[in-house]
Amino acid sequence: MDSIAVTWAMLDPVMTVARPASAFITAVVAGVAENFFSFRKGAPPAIPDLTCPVDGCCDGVACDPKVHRNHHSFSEKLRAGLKFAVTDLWGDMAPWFFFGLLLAGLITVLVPDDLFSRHLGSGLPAMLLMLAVGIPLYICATASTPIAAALILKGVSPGAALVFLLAGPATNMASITVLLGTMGKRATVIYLASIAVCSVLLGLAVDHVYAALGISAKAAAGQAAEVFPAVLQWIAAVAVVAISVKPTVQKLKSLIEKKEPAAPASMAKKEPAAEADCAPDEDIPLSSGPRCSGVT
Amino acid sequence: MEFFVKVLNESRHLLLDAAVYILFGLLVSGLFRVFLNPNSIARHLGNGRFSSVFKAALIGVPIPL
Repeated sequence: MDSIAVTWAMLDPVMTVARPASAFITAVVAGVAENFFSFRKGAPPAIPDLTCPVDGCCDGVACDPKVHRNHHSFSEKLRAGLKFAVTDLWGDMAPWFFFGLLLAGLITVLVPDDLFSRHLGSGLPAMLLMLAVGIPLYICATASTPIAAALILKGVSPGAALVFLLAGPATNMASITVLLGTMGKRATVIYLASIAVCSVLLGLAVDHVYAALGISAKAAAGQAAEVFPAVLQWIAAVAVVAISVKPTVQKLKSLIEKKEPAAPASMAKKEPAAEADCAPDEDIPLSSGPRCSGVT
Repeated sequence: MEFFVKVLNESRHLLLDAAVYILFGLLVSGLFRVFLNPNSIARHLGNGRFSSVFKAALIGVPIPL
């Protein structure tokens, strides 16, 4: 959802539709392929976590959902939802988003405008290149969007950019190793092959859509932004930065601490593990990896 | 030095383009979290070879991970 909104802002309407649709198709193909090859009948059904999302007052087992339904007022729920969005969701995404922003800025400044349009703007070679870059890259959907926007502005075809948008967040070296460990070699190969084949086919299809509609992605990129007045944009940007400072600083800190495991300070530091008690287990096995590495 | 200013300038443009939408997406996903019932989700996605995958993908696409 977030990245759909970001795609609308940074790319154009066609991409805004194509991206989630393609992600959907890729996910279905990968999931069905996976289930087709390794479906076990009689596997235990998943147990939903009914822990109260507002304050954890109910663990979902000892209390009746019907009673709990009227436990919290609307504004209480609203506040809890917003708090979750800002601290948990954006807390996870913010460092990656800003990393992506900087990378996109770098691409825009460093890559000459005609590099891609002259050498490999479109077609199969460009898409294979995007695959080669996107699969091992450790990047999330929110961070890949500004990069794709920068690539399109540099003359990469929208289809090739879509390949990057699909393959980038869906896979990275870390999640591949986790997949190898948890689901085995065969499942990992099936997963990677599904993503590679689907994203290239969808990329080619999107290029055809652009050609059929007779529009160029380059002209459209950045246009959507003018929907909002500059003042609103600045207010929103300041708000985004404001809610991003803490998680980004924490992320940087934890990265530095990881590099020096011997430092006594890191031993004494209290980990925010308590949060995990309340949060439901949202990780689907296929998307193991950082929480920020979803398909969309 | 001039190079870094250029890069940051480009990044700032991109941030301004995206910020409103990020806030909007966060708002919607926050509402999802509080107002959706996990039980009904489990009922739809708990089992099935194809239907669960299909539904999971349909729901998974808008989830901001």
